[in-house]
Amino acid sequence: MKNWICLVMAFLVVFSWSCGDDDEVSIESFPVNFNFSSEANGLQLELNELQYENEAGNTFSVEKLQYLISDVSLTREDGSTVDLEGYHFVDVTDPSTTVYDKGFTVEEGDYTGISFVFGFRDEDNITGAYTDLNALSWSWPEMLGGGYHFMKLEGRYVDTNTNTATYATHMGNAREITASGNVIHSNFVEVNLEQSFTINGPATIGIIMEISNWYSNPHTWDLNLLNNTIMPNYEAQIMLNDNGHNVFSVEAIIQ
Amino acid sequence: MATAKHSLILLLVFFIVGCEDDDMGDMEVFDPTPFELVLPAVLEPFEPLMKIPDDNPLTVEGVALGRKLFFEPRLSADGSLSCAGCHIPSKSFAENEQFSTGIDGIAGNRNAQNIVNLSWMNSLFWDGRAKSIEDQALEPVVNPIEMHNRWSEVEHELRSDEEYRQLFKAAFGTEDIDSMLVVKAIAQFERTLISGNSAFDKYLNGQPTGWRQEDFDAVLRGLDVFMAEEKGDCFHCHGDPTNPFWTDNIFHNNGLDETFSDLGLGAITGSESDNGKFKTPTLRNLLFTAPYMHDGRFNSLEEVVEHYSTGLKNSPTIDPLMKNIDQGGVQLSPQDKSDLIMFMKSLTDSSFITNPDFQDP
Ligand code: HEC
Ligand code: HEC
Repeated sequence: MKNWICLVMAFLVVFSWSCGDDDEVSIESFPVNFNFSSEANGLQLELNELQYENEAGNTFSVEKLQYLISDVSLTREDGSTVDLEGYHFVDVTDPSTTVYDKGFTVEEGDYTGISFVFGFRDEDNITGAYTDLNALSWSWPEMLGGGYHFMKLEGRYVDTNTNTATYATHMGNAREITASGNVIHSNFVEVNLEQSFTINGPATIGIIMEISNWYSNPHTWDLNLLNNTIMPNYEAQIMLNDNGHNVFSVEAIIQ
Repeated sequence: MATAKHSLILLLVFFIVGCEDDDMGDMEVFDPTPFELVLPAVLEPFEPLMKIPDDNPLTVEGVALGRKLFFEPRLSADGSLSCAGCHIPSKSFAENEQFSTGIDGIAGNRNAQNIVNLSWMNSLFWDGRAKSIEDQALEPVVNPIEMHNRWSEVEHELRSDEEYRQLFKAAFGTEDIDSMLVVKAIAQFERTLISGNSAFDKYLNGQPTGWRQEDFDAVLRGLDVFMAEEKGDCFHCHGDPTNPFWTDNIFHNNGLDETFSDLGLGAITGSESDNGKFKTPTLRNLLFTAPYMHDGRFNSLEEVVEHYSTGLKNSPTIDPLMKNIDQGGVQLSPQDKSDLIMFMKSLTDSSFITNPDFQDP
């Protein structure tokens, strides 16, 4: 008796499903997600290994790498964009965070680029606005303009006396101290990656951060000079912003 | 038509019930009352982030049973020590001993942690070795230097007690008492131990703090020291006004030692890079919980602040956020130090330790 009812219900479910949309011949949409991976010196990042070198010649390791991505968009061939709103927190020490999958679907077709914001645009960078980030101690101090951190990159390096020392490269709003008071400059990076690709099925878009590029192009960053207390250092924050335009690339688009 | 609709609904109901569960034998007797947790304003937005297992929702009966068990000395082998023996309500569920002493008079090597806002923690113990509140509660009962009991003994003891049989029946629908149900009940009680009503919380809520203005001015100056990367830089690990837990919930080496007699997280993960790392403790209710650190080495907040200011010790795993290590720290001014301490004191929630729902039933 029970099996019978189950069967009928199963039939009903299938039936009501298929009633939905079988007549329109429309453009199909496919799920798309993003995978953020990290490299240093072109190799997949190994945490805690004092084995990478930056342009200034500092040997360094990475112990913590956390960063914020928001407002991802894909550019169509005609220049219009598919905007995938929201933000994503990547913590490289927690592999479950490297995939950004918010159930986005994207229309099939040809695309020419991927862009996103590293950090938050000013209108999104509101102190305390996101409870999940608050619980992660991700806020940026009010005295420096508030909002959230965009990145915490921490580890060790070999200093000029060949001792192992520590560094903490944190990025967020840039506070400039001027004669007439503090001026807060937004410091997010608009990352635009040119890449031709076609969406004709579910896709994972792989994006790589080359960590050593935070410390080069255009500014050579010497960890002996810029190791700690980077947050209140206006010039350092602007250097990170400039260098930050060259740290991401598209790894692959897997369909 | 109406009848047709009705039979369809009936059919649906049958379907849902029928496909889910085969016998509804003793369903009707077990009907616990959901426990309405009232969160303080600063914690309210974080409700969705509470870790409450699907198989252990809070119920009025479960919480009441858990409370009784938390204060139950019969959980220990000689009937002398309850959880509350080391986690004292008036001490924000910590104790003022450097190390805890179990029933055999043997002291451990760790300071008893306070029990506050556990539902938002990713792991328990100084080294994070328990992944859930339920798992945590399994340990002290059998720990040879704590309650030194066997679970089979506890189960036997509780089963032979008519009152407990009734309480378990009300809470879990069964008199078949086992360790899993005991820790579930205790965990339910612990999840109600929520603190968010300190002077600083009131300040955040825009309510009067009850503090003299000049004292609260010191609190706010202390907050600036806490938040400034070039000064205290405490916020990176201990939270900030948007993080009411006052911990980042992860592990760090905050520069206590050059070599480690207690490896902390490293002993759990087996990874050298984790040696000397401990879970960042919350800064709530510190006034009740001295001494401080995993080994209770500091007796006062003055000593703690002096550590961060001038006492840092270098080691291969010292946290990258610790600065000026070769000079022992950032050398805070006397004013900064006293302001910082005032700020920490403002995180004291006296209503938490006097809450009648948290006392021995
Ligand atoms: C002999 C004293 C003692 C007894 C009895 C005791 N504890 Fe503890 N408790 C401690 C100590 C010490 C720690 C820290 C141990 C460590 O980190 O290894 C601790 C840690 C905890 C924690 C972790 C808190 C956190 O923030 O991670 C919880 C929860 C806890 N105990 C609950 C209980 C419960 C429930 C019981 C009764 C079943 C109990 N304890 C019995 C001493 C005790
Ligand atoms: C790098 C992360 C980090 C920073 C920065 C940091 N702490 Fe801590 N703090 C910890 C950890 C981890 C512990 C526990 C260490 C242990 O017991 O081994 C701790 C312990 C404490 C304790 C003891 C609490 C207790 O219940 O025993 C206090 C108080 C404290 N810190 C205050 C501060 C203050 C004030 C500052 C800023 C001057 C600060 N901390 C900066 C990580 C940090």
